Amino acid sequence: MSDNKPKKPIMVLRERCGGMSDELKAYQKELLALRKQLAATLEAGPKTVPEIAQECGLEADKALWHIMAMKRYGAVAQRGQKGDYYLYGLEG
Amino acid sequence: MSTIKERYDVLVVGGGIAGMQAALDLGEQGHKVLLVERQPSIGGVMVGLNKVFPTLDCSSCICTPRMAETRSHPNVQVETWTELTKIDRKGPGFSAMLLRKPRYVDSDACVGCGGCELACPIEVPHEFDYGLGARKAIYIEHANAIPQVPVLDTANCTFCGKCARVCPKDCVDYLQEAQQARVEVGSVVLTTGLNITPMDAKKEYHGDEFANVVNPLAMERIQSSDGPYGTVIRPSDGKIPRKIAYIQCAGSRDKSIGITYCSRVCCMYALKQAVLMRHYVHDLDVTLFHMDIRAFGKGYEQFYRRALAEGVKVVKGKVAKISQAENKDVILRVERLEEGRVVEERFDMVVLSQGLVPGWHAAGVVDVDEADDGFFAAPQAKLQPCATTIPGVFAGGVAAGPKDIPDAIVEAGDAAMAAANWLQKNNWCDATDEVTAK
Repeated sequence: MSDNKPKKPIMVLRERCGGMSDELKAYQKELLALRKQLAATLEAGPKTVPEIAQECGLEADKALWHIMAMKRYGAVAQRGQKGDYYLYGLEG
Repeated sequence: MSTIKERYDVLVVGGGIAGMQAALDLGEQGHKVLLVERQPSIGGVMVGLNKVFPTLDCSSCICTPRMAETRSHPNVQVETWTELTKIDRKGPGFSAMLLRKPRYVDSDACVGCGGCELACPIEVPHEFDYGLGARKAIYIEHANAIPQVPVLDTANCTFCGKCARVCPKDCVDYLQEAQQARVEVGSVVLTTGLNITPMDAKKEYHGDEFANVVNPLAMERIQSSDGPYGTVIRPSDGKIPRKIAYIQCAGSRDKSIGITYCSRVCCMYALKQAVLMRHYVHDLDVTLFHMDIRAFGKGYEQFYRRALAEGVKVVKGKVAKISQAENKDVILRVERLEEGRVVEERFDMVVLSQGLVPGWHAAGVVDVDEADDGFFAAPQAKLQPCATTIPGVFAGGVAAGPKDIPDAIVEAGDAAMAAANWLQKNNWCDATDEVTAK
């Protein structure tokens, strides 16, 4: 009887917490789209944060935050320097 | 998961450097100590600092062994991610209520591999890095965290279940629930630490609006090799800063924000950061605008002289307001007092030397009085500075008033000794031995 099947623990937690908020859903959607956009931008080679921001139409502080998050989790690495800015490129 | 017993000799509240010192001092004397920390790791503010003044020792290199010693001491039980909710007097001692928050991870089984964190699909601003860096919804607080066990932040969880699927030890436990515990203790040591003055305290400085106006603890993280950037750059666009200003007394000695006291550490941490900044960025121009420099501790005056010799500019001046240029440079309107003129100067970054305020208020939890400045009142400030208004409850570290790390450690030791004396006076330990024997 499928009705008596115990719920998966993650579904129990989801119910207890009231699920993902609409705000978090929108945030995650934007995050995923931005990461794809940033990775595509860096495919062409290492860039500075202002260059990345300009190409992606982002505020530079937001671009920096995402690049640093990608660096922390291994998707991006620092690749030299251009003037007063470091260059960042895709890892691997 | 460890079991919280019904009885301990001393409850230490707060696992920063002062709390760890108090717990270790008591543990070394043979007392059974329960140390509770509301964050996922012990270490407090100190473990997030880059280096310490005046020695420029690596802060985490000093703090981390102390954290490990505390965690592994046979007489000290450490409970992280645990809140103190109530303390009432009971007989010669106290009854304390604790709330152990769910980590959603089996602490005993977890080996701290970080696989769950890597698998988590969402990244949010990390509180430990003052929002400058990212963390996942399931995360280990920082590289030196003790315990090395993640917590799951359900407010940012996507409930995808990936963390449980990748865990090699099957220790992600979505059904974990908060646990309440009641303990009896003979004495309490409050080492609840500090916050810094809010960045919006002085509206004319726009500390909460301008990306390149940062607080000193965020600057510690920027300077740290394990910080959000791994190198020194500014938050607005990743530029390597060439010109930086520190504004002293930006959150202390200021009637307009209700904080009239001197926070005692701002001059020294600003000088330390300024010296280090010139080590990290060659030829960096760094200026401290101050009312006066207070370098009172051992070796501090010498460090001030060293900062001057290393090219840090120390200028007597009052910053009236801060504005922002189009490229996010920071423009200060400064009255240079010794030159008798008002100038506008442009900087890549500005650090507001915020003052220290209490990290925790006891209202509703324990009836200990606070002084006018918000720190715990010390009715015997001269003869027993760690005593509070409740006999048997002692305060140490910044919880009792602004102070630097050496003073916090000394005072925590004093609080530990006072707690030990209290236990002796009330024959608490004999009673504990009887309970244990049964």
